[in-house]
Amino acid sequence: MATLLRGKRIVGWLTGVIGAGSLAVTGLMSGFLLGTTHTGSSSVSPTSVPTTSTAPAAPSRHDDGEDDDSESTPAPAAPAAPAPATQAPVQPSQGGQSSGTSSGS
Amino acid sequence: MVLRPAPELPAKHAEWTVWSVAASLVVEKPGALSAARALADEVLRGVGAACDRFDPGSELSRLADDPVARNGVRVSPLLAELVTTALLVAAQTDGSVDPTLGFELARWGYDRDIDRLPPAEQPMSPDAAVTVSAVARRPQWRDVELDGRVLTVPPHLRLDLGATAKAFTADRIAARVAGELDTAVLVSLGGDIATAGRSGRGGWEVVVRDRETDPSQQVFLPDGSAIATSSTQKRRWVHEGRVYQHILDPAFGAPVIPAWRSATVAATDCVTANAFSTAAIVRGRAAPAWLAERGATARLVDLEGRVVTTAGWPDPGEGAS
Repeated sequence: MATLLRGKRIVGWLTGVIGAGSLAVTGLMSGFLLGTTHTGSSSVSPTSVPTTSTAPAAPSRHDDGEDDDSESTPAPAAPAAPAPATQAPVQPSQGGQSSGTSSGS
Repeated sequence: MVLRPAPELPAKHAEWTVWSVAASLVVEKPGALSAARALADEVLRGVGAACDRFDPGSELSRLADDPVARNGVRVSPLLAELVTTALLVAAQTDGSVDPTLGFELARWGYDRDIDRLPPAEQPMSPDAAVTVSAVARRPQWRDVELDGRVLTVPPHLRLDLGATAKAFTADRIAARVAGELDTAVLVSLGGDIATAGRSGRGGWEVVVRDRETDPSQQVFLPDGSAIATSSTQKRRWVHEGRVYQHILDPAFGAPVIPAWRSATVAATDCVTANAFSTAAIVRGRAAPAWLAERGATARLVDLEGRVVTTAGWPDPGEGAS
């Protein structure tokens, strides 16, 4: 009987602890989320990236995980720029003397 | 007062005749013309030695007469390159530009240099009746095999690389002159024009015109672009009392019955431009739609002198005369 009573007390104590902990965590999370919403976090939502970006920026040396131990070292060559839009192989005349004539032979 | 002669401008423009067509070379770098012309001559000699079908001593002519070659023979790197280009163009044009028409060209009388054939100088009238008797011919360019540099041509076929070799040569000269002499260059071989290098203006002004009386248009060809015109009004001759022109329809092995006086195509290289312009003549009235489907930038002049263009070609009214 004594054992049964001791077990009930332990369960009650644990229930209280867990309940209090849950309330604390819930409060913290609510506060965090509320703060995030109202302060306008600087983090960018994933969905905004592809629709607003026009061209990928060249990564900085800080982004590539390398040690930035020499500020004076010239930055490595930027990665190849995106391929330019295909240029029309022929365009309206800009005037001036012609350098050749395309005719059948 | 002493009059002094004006300082002589550096010569930057050369003209000459080769393969019965007018050739010209324009370089932007002062002093580079002589070396550029020497390079051009070297390329022309090489291509001629490899595949001139009117030269019995050319590699292609010798192979054509050699029975051993029918079972496969190792050819020079340049001839292999020229045959590869011709076969690629055949594939690119769905067989409209076929390099296996050598026998057919001879059968229609084009068996020697055009300068030695009876000329047909009068322009073709749109009302002129054209009669060509021919039977359907199976596409045969796939029967030619090139395994590395080992070329096999079945005995019933004779290669004629004339449809692609001129444009190939223009591209090659332009690339070599720009690369080796560090100058912008424009090369024209019978109106097939290739450019290379970076010019001061970013490109070249070019007139598109077949015969003197045809509608013409001046356009701007950006550096690295090329332009080619195929014509049914030139390279015409009289054979057995009739006038023929040099572009054959591979489906019949016979001269095309013209729907166009000329077709001009601009592209990033002269081989491609020439491939599409020749195919346009072969395809006749279906050409504009066929070119448009492939994104080709083209200008065609029909037998009445009306101009038809595909998307990307400048307004025919601009630069026209």
